[in-house]
Amino acid sequence: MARKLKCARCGVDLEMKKIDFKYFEVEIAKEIPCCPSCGQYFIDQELAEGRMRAAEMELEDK
Amino acid sequence: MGREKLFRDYRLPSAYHGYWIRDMDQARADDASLLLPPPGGEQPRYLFFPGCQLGASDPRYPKATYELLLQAEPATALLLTCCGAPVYWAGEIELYRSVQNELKQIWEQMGQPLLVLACLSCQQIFNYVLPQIKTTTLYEVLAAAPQVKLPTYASDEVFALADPCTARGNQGVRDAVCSLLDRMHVHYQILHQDMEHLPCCGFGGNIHGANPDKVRQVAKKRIGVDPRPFIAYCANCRDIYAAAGKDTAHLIDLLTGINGKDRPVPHLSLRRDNRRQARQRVLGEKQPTLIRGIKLVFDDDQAQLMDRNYINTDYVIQVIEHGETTKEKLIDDQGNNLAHLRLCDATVWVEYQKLADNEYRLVNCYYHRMEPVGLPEEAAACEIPGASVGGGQEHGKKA
Repeated sequence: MARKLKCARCGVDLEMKKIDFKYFEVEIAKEIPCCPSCGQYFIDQELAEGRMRAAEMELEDK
Repeated sequence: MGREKLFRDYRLPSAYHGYWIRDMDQARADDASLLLPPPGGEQPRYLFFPGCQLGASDPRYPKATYELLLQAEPATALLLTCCGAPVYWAGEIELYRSVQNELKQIWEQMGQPLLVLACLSCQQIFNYVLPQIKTTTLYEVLAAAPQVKLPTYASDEVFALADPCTARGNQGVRDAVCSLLDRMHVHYQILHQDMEHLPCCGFGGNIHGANPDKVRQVAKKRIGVDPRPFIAYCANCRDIYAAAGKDTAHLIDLLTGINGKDRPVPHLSLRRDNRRQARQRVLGEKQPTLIRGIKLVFDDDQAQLMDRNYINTDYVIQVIEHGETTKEKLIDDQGNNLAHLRLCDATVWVEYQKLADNEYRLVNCYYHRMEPVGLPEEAAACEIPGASVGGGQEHGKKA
């Protein structure tokens, strides 16, 4: 189960929102928890070391 | 050179070299670098340049070797900083030249003394870019100074002498090293006789960033050629071989008696702290360093986690400081804090607990290079406080 997160600045729970990510010409889109008030977001380890790392290495290995 | 062109054409990902370039910035920062005149205040005849990796490997090395050198020549000054090798290897020639120009100015201000180097990579770079600066090595100076008191060893154990690749063609330095070993009654055999084809340990060229498996593969091959413990006279070789599981003493360990052959490798995240400690030791300061006034608590598993991710304690503390001062952080249902900060070419995430005022426990850390699109611009920090050259630049990244 995804952990429950609160924005320390706004004091509200984070909500899922689709965000685009970019590294040079490589792009991916993913739903991640975001603060509905200030936009602070959370990228978990699984996404960082999984799909993002694969996309980054796709470019770096060229 | 090829890398210079790759960098100029934006074809060299900054991820390959970023860590080591920021490492250089840290070695050049105010709290790690130092220029010390000779103790007697006279015009220096020698300027000792231990190199940035010597103190990072063991914070006692620079002071201990400086003390030996002072026995050989009291008019010896000391310069703790980096020669610029990481930016040279990254192909960032403009930045590299600015680093070397600063070093040249210091050398001129000191009256153009003989530069005494403990690192053969530094010597290679100085000889190539600033040929007007006359250089020698720590080992050649000590070998030529019979008045320097060295320990002697009674053990029958035989070592294998592993010359660094940067000693290629430099018969003088090997002769000096052998002479010092003979003087200390250390038994050894030379691992690679051919001075023109000395193999690399795997450190050179910032290979870590691009292909860490290659470093391990090269190191494994090197240590597999001889079962005896190694003697190295390059701090990078010493640590690479030790990390691969080979008993390896630095020649400085034998010259000073500081360590045996089985010293573990300092975690990557502690190497920067070692540099600060090296400076403090030279100055006789005893206060432990608190990075930005913050104490970070972590265990050995977390130190290894940081090593694997090339995230060091400086980065972790920067992220925590950012989270605490701006409140740009999240809190989970366990009460753990999660903050992130863009540090040059990567976003570092740190999960942490607050233990007391200015004291935090690291729970987890990881990074990614991808950046969100369409969100408000976030805070970023590239600058190492006090770094005179290089801090604040997005090395190798297209503007």
